[in-house]
Amino acid sequence: MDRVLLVDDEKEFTDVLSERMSSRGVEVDVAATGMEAIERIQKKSYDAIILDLVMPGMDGIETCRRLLEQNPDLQVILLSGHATVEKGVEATRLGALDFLEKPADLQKLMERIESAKARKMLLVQKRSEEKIRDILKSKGW
Amino acid sequence: MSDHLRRDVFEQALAFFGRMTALLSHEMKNALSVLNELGGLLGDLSLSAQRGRPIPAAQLDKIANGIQKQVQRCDAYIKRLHHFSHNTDSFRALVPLDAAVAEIVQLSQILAARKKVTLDVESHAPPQATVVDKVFFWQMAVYECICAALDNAQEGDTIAVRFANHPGPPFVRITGSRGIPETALEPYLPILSVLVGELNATLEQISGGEGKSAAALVIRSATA
Repeated sequence: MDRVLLVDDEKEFTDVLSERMSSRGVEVDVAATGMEAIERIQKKSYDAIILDLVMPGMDGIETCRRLLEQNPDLQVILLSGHATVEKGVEATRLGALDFLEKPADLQKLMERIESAKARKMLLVQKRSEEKIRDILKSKGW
Repeated sequence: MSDHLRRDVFEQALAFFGRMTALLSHEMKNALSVLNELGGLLGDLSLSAQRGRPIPAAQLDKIANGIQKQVQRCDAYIKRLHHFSHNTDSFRALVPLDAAVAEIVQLSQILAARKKVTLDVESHAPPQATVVDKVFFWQMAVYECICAALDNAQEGDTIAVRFANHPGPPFVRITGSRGIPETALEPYLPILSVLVGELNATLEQISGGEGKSAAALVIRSATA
């Protein structure tokens, strides 16, 4: 089962989107603010973080920056009502995986979540291999 | 007005118009996103029904209410956009100033909400309304003052915008709960000076804040 954290202050939007994603076999958690998202990733691992760009208080770009600072392996997909090229470039520079415009097509979003999951698995595998290599090197076997 | 200043005013007026319309279109996109998901949910339920799974009436009711709510929300934004746009194309039309102030406060509320700041509007107008022309400039001047107050505001603060037309000439007062320091006001002063000049008004900084901070900004019309 895919695990997704949906970060958006628009409750009606997160309610319906999480219901639709759950019916497609995705486990969805919701955070209404950037701070809440940061707290959630400390407690649980997610295959993808779907993050709204414009939120009260800490905005999507700042939240993305802080999330990736805490865990560079996180797969962040930014969602915005106005996906400007400028914001897209900024998000990509920060390390976001993708940038989608609202209203988003659920099929497309599900495909992006699958890519995020695959990329995360590759990163985890790479980290494990590096760890094993380090252990082998330090033990001199 | 020098050519340089004229160009500055022109650019900033366009920027103000652009910012307001972008704020509104962004909110409309949010409402459309909810509608998009509600439509998608209806599609999901229809597919389930075709496979013999009944749709609970309560769920359909909830979706219908959600659709109505978002349509009303979109309609309110479109009305605001329509009013605001007409203030630009009917630049010389006479418009009640209290309504124009209430409108720009409502639009600025979207911006304030992003900083988790509350904007309060109070109107103390007598039955005799004050009508003004160049309402776009009035709204821009009030907006610039709100921005100066917002720059110094923090989460949970309130900015009060008060319109009154008695005693004396009509005025709009913008009060930030943390005051409006000179540093916050400085970037807005050049355009504000031009705007109040165009409106035959004055900009007053009411002292009372700490240090070099103004407690409030008042745009006062020279004519009653």
